[in-house]
Amino acid sequence: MASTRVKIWAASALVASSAAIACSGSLDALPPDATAVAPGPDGQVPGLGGTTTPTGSGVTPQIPFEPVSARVYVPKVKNLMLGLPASEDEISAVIQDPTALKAMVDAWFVRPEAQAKLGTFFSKAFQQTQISQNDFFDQLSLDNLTNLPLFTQAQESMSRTALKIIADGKPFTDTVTTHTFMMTPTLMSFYLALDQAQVDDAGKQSLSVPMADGSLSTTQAFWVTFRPPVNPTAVPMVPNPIPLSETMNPASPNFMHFAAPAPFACSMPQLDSTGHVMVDAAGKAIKANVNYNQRKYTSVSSAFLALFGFASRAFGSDPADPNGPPTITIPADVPADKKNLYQFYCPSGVAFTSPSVSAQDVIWRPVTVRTPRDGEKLTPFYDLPTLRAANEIVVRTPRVGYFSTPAFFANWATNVSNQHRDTLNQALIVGVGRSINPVDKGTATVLDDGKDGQHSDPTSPCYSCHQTMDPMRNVFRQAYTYSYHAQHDPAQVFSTASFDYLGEMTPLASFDDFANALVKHPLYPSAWVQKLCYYANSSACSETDPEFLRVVKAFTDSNYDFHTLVRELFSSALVTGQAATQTWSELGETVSIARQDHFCAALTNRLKLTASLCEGITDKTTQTAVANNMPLDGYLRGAEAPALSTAQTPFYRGATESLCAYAAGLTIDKPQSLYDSTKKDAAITDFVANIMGITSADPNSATVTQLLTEHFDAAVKAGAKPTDALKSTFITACLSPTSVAIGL
Amino acid sequence: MRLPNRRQLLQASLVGAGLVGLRAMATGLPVSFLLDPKSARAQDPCSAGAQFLILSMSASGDALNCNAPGTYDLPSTFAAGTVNHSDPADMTMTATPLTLGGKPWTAAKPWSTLPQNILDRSVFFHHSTGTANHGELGRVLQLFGALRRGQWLPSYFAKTLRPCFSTIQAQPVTIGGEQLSFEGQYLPKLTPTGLKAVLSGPKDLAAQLQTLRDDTLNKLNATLKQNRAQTTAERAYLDNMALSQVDLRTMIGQVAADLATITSDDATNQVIAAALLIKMNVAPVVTIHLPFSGDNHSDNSFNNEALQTNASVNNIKNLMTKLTAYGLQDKVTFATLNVFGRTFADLNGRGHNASHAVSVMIGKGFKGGVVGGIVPGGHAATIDSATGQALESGDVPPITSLASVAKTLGRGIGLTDAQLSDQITSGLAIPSVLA
Repeated sequence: MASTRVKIWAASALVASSAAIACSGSLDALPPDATAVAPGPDGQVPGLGGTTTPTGSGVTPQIPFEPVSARVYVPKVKNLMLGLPASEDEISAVIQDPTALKAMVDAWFVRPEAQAKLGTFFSKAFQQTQISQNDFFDQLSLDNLTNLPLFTQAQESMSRTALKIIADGKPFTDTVTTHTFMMTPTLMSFYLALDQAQVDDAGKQSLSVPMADGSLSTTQAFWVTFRPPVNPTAVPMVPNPIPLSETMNPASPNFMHFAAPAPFACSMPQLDSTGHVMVDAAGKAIKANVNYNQRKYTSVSSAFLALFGFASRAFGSDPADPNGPPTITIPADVPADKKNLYQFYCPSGVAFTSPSVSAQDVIWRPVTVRTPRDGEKLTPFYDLPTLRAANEIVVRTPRVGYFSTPAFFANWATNVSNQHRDTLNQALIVGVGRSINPVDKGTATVLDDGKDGQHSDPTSPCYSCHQTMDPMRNVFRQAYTYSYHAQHDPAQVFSTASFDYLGEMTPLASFDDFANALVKHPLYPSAWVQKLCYYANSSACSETDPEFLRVVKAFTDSNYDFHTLVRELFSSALVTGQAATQTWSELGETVSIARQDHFCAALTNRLKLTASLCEGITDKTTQTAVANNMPLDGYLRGAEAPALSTAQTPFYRGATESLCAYAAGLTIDKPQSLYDSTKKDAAITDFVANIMGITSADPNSATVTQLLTEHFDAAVKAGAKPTDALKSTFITACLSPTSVAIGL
Repeated sequence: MRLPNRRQLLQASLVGAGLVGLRAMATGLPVSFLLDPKSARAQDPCSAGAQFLILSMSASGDALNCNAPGTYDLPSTFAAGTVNHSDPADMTMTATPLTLGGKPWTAAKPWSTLPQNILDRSVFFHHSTGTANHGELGRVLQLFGALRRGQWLPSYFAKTLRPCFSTIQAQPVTIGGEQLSFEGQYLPKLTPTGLKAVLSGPKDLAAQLQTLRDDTLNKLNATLKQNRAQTTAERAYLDNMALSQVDLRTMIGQVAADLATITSDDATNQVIAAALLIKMNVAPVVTIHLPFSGDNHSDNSFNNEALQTNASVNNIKNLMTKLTAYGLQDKVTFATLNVFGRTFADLNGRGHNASHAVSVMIGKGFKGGVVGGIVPGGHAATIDSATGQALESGDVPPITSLASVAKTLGRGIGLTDAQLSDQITSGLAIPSVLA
């Protein structure tokens, strides 16, 4: 269980006084983090336009404030930012002068470890993760996709964009309004492919692919083709893949034939000279693999995936194609009960290393996504040579800020019933930190009757939310179909949209209007301060706390400089707990488990691993234990607060033990590993200072070192070899309270 | 007069009433007990046959409501074609008679395959959740504010029942993929294979080393608690950390053999894991997810709905078999509560139905029966609380029927009317289906 002091008190006290503070029983139920946004004395929820009287005004006895010591909060802040332990010099400097922390935060912010951790934070804060490749189904119209690097890149693009905006000294509001995203040529091609594939609201698929002469083809077919070696008997074999230049050349016989490095195969029943199937003694068909060289596709999505190394299962059958998949004609005299003997199997999706792709295609750079000017030619999705040199792409579907990336859409699929309402709501949650709710309703009366006609009934419990949502979500309907392709239905394109939320009203004619409405909203800066509060404390800050408001003002006054926000918040008592705040009075201090993102980053950085410890786990049991029992920072549909588990459970304890054991295996007595069991004293010293974060001048250092040394000796005495004894000692340090907690 | 705010009430309760809040913290006894031990004992849920709860939840909004008893044999006021059941050609969902509480009903075939002794303690409760939004499962579980202080129903039940069973933790365990909150904190979403991965202990020398590590960690905890932790929260964290280690070792000792039967994270394995967690006395409430259609906007002839309904009813049977094998058949209640039901009028897929859903409750605390029903349009009917029947002049309108589900389920798992009415501000329990 998380140690949240005031929450524990609240739980017990509220039992005694429940009648006096009963909830209203209305639709305005408290959110999951009820204590974080509890109504003030006048019943208003902080930050929603009401006024609240500061609590702890001296009317009643105060719960004594317990300041957190610098020996605890300096390591907390450094671990949050870098995943590294604080040094004695750093702790001493803050003990001498608490304001010294601000300069440290400033310096830590620009380190690569901090940028990596911020990147992870942004990918969650902008809701770009928590998806699998199959969540792109609506956009690609293909299921059973393979795990191409593309899908990871799609999830990273927005966080890299945010980091780039910060590094360039631009206002953080650009993350909402920007048309320029960090992209690879692969991602650029993806955006183009999504634009050149068309799926309307009814699910009807078509294509609109630019040709060399500037025209748009709606009938172009595509192939994935293996071209055999010129000399099939040469050893070693010399591959002969179709070069991309031929694929792109309309005059070439290989136009729109994407290269495959190997033939495809089907398991076919063997036929005799009369065309009848040959059977074995058991009466089963005798089968053999039959190779073929190409698959034919009619969709842009399949062609795009083929370009990058995946021949989807959506290929067509063309009996006239001698290079296509084999077919079987069942002789007319085969009885019905024997026809199943003629069944054959061709693998569906086939992943391969694409000969057309180069190392250039995974290089990140800023790319502007814009709509075409009059008469401007579009770039076909397969034109990688052009994309490798381009810093902009031209598409017909608008892409603005975090809320229109393919990854955001993959998170929030919509349909004919939902009609982009969840897309809108999640965009609001990210942008202004608030979800649509029945109380903060808009003033519009324009409601569609949708599929669920009950929504437009004013007596329906759904009505007030839809009153707010429907005019706003029209901005998505204007631009996108339900599968997030370009909207061409005039009824939607020319529909009316307006922003009307929490007192802010403006008509919406485009995504740019929507983006501007978000960044001009009074809740925009506080939403991001609050997100960082959650990140740092695993709980909310009070939005009426004067210290919170000071940080919001500093962020706003700096023209939304995120570096300033981090400096002001992470050196604030809101995060350090070194001084009393309204947030402490209302919500107390939370000591949280180190969730997966934090714990993995800390071990990776402290053990100087070159790749993330948790992303590279090769042991299946450890992988499962970590993935399923060590909670990630996350987000939920409709939830304003991030999903942050703080509780210690036996399952978390078991998962951390598995991960620590795995890390021990990587770092002890391995070639060039950090620790050597023949130098166990040095290793244990490092365990204490580096893994546990207890500096040599810490009053606990000697005792802790002694306990670990005794553990090593006891392990050897029990029969363990020095390597295993040191591993066990490492696991102990790795599982120790200061290693697995945030804020201890 | 200016009303005191929440903070002031809290402070007054903690330090004003004989420091009862602090005493509760120190002793672990409920404040209600410290304030009035006699009264608290009178409300002890354990004396009324308290039950563990395995709750299936779905944010998909499943079509369980479309094939349940109470939606067949409808009067002529229902126009033809407005209530469509799943009834594929393979006859796996064909309308089939069954007996509940001694009365004949009709339902999709899978329900009729439950053994009669299970049907005799099965309730099908027709109600309305009032939402058609997938994202509002949390609000449904909060009964849209009818459950005080934003508590989530499974968490409220778990917290209330924990003293009866002295479970390892008060928090529910969620292994079905849906999110749950306990006292303002989201709970981790666990999986059957994840449980298996952490509950498989080492052997031989590795086990010896683990014991040594546990011992060293206890000493480290004690050292840091004495010399580093300066705040209540820091000390509490260290205490909880030590406790979680003890709990883990206890659990590992109990389940080694049964864990081997877990092979994946599907509903079948969720059922195994849920039964195991109860057997291990981990938590009073375990949540799983048994699908009865999923979000089936497109579902040709309701084939998928049929497959999932058959599989989930089979899993309910499997659960009952498992509980019987563990001797827990009279100590565990199974129930379902989904974000919403689905619409009746479509043919090849179903929309969201805010105004009708069905909750199934199976346990010793129940008599077989159907509560409520549907009215034309596919909405939940008003219920007469005395009989449980659909009645236009009844006293449980659809808007409070969700709270009635909660109160009836609460009664079935051993809570008293007084306890439930103290926390749930609307709705009525339906005594006619309580054993």
